[in-house]
Amino acid sequence: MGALLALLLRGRKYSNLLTYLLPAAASLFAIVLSANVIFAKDALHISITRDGLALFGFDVFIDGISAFFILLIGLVSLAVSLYSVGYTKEYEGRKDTSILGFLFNIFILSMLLVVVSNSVFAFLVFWEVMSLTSFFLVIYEHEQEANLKSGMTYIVMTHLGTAFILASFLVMYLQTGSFSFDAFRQYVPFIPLQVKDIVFILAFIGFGTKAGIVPLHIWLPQAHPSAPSNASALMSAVMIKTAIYGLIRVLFDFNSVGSPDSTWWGILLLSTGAITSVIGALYAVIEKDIKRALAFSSIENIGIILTGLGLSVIFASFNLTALAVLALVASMYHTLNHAVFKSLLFMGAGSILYATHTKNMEAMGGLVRKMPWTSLLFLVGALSISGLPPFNGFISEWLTMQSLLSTSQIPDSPLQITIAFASLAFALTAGLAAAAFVKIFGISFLSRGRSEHVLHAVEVPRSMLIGKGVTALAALALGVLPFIGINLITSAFNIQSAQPASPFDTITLQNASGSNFASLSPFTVVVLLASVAVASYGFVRVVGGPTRQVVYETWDCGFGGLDERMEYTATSFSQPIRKIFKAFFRPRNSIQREFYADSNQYMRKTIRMESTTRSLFEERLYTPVVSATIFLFDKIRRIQTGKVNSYLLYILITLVLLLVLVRLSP
Amino acid sequence: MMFEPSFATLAAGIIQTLVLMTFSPLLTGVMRKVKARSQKRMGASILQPYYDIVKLMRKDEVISDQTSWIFKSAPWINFAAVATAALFVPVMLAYSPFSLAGDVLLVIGLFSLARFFTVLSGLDSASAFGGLGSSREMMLSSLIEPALFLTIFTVSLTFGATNITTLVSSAAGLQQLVTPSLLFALISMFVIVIAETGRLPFDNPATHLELTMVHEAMVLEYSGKLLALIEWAQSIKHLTLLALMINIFFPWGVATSLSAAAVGEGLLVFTAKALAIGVIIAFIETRVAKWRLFRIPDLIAIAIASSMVGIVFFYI
Repeated sequence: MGALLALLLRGRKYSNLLTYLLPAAASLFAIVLSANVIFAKDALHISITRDGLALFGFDVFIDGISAFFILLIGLVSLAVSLYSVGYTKEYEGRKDTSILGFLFNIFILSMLLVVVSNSVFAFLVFWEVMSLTSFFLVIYEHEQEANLKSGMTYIVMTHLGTAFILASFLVMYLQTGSFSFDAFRQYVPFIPLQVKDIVFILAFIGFGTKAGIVPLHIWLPQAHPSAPSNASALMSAVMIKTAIYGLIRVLFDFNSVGSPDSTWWGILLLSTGAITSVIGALYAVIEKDIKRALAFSSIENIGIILTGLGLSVIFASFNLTALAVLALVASMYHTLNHAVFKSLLFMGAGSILYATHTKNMEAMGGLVRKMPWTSLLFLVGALSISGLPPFNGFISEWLTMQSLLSTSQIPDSPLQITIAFASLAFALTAGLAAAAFVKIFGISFLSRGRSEHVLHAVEVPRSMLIGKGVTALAALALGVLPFIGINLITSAFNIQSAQPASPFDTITLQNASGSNFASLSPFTVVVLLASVAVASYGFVRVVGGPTRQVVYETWDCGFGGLDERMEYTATSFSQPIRKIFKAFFRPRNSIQREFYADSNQYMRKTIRMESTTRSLFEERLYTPVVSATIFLFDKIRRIQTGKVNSYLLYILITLVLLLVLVRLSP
Repeated sequence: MMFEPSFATLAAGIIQTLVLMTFSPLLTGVMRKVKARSQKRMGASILQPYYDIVKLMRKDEVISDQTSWIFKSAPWINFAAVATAALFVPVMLAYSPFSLAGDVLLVIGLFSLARFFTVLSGLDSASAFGGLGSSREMMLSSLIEPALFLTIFTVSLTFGATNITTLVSSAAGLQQLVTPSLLFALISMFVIVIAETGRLPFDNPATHLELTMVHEAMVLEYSGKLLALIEWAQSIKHLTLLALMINIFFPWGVATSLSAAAVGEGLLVFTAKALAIGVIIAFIETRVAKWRLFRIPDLIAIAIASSMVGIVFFYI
């Protein structure tokens, strides 16, 4: 770990290449380390304490859970570091790229240190370092006012979250008398139930803010698009997962959920997850900024992860261990998958930005011909995130659906019906996510270019393609051979299972009567797909003979002159969905017409239509809170006159009051 | 188990899929004929869809100059995904040898994969028609998906599986024919089958008017072999969904052993049931007009509500 630290910190002094190859090497090291911990089941425990300063001692503890998240961070950082070698050229000449490299390195390092910390102080310090470096990454392009604004929102929200986490840990401290996580683990059985509930609620709000649960999500769609794309890939793919890590620590490590008293924790997680996923998906569908759309889709995926986590807690509280394991595996598999395909998609969006200098999908189009490799890799990401076979998103969504379908074994019918509603939300999310990614891929890459931005677009440098290729391969491997992921998770979480299955095995679930409930062998499915494709090609060739293709223009109804202004755009593509969910989006359309003559309203000179949607959360929840706060502080400001004599008066009054108080108290 | 994985059952499973693929254009032909006759027209021969597919396969193709490899590969991926999905669905046997490799959720996943590429191909040609069809298709499918999932939820609760073999054999062994939850799931399933296959009132497969078309608008640019694949895949998808519905909700007469008599009976009964449902759908099509696009979500909402009621009935 020491070597890792030095390697990462030194980055700043070297050139671009070295800056990013070092974290790539360090990430490889982290992957090897975590794989070692996971499969050798050997927890690492290193303590660096100085006498008298036990509070600041740095205590490293890597168990399976930490190792799983180290692996996640390592995998994504490896790909993103390779990608960054090329991507930072975007900023060369305009910005100081060494600062970007420095922050990038510190950011990865702090995330790694968060998941290995074993005491409150180390955890919070690195958590704060992580938040601050990501804040600086968000405002890296501080020349643009919008970025400063999103940075502000981000830093306020993230500190709000940290405050709740701190409060949660302080309550634990009051109960256990120690700041060490070891003590937390040891003393939890003796903590009264109500206190545990308080700890959970505080931790849930704190970590939830970082994860981006609705309604605490508002920073996420602002901050992630503002950061440079390599940083947004890291933020979306791994930083928000450290919050999931924190939740898992609190839920399964400090508390061992398993009593009926913790059922409502699961219900809270499940319902928050369901709401978060639907709302994230809805916003992702209508968004036309490619990076914002991806950020909303991160919110959606956090919702799916929480759905699985909540189900796991519910099952565990009814002592349905096998199902709790299924749901936990589903949730962690999705965590892993999301890290893989979201970093791929953000790197893809960054490549588009690199080639076209725009984030607006309405200005893109036709990139599939200009950037063939990027478009292929982006398509892999889009298919994975839409949960389509044979890619990895399908496996984790399948596992989550199976966990939802297994609720018939819970002996509580109101709860079962609640879970059925969560399933509805889950399925709606899956449908909307597919719509969102059809739109993102179709509008940005296909058809004609919509603006001059795409005219000069060329394929990105090879290092950027390699970075994306690594994650695309991971997405495919995790989709075709799911036991790679499942073995990893079951060993990391120390779940008692039979022999580790071979990667080609079939996932089999049994129902209560022992017959086959469901089974899935993605590898066989891929073989079948391929053989059907070959067979159908042969059949068509035999029946139809050779094909002669004529290239001609698109059908324009005989009028001629079909151009890019007549194409569907991101906004028009999502119009039906915007209209169906109009109660939620509150679209406002304003149409201005100009006529040649007012007497004849059929002859229009110009027509201009504007459609805007509003964010209900910002309008209804945050604006009132913010304005109330400002109002309050305006009132308080009155006593700060700036005159020394009035301040002396305040001191005198306080003194007198204190004296009176002391006199009165017995 | 009534069926053990063996060479014979594997062969039987592949044969039933081939039956499904071969007879799917026939169903389309019969439905068109019924529709024509009930509108006092003669209508084309019920074999016309076969003639169309063969004719299209022999024709040259016109490809738009704006398209990419997505446009050329989409029909193949579409066809392969739909045909693979058909492998998992039992027809005359209460068994599919591939059900160990995938369940009903996989079938939905493969249909979604097929749709994903069809929708992309609609956007690829830079025509406003394609975008229009794609946009509408995604709107409908994002609502149909939850309805379909909830229907499966109900069915899987009742029969304790998403594995199709387990599902169909426990449906075939069910004593009580109608339970309230299954009835509501059936209502929902029926709406979904109509919506998924693009029939009236959701979509009119016989129209080329930009106000009304959904599926046709997406595939407007296709010709020749690629169009043949799309049309055939659409027929297969239709019959696969019908087979799923028939074998889960009306499993009477499905073969539970591999004897010639049982299989023959299963095939005959299946054909009769598929034709009956096809005729019912065709009659519905002559009775209703195409609905306004933004009224359709109401119908899907009914399907969703119906399966929710089914789930509630199951639990109480």
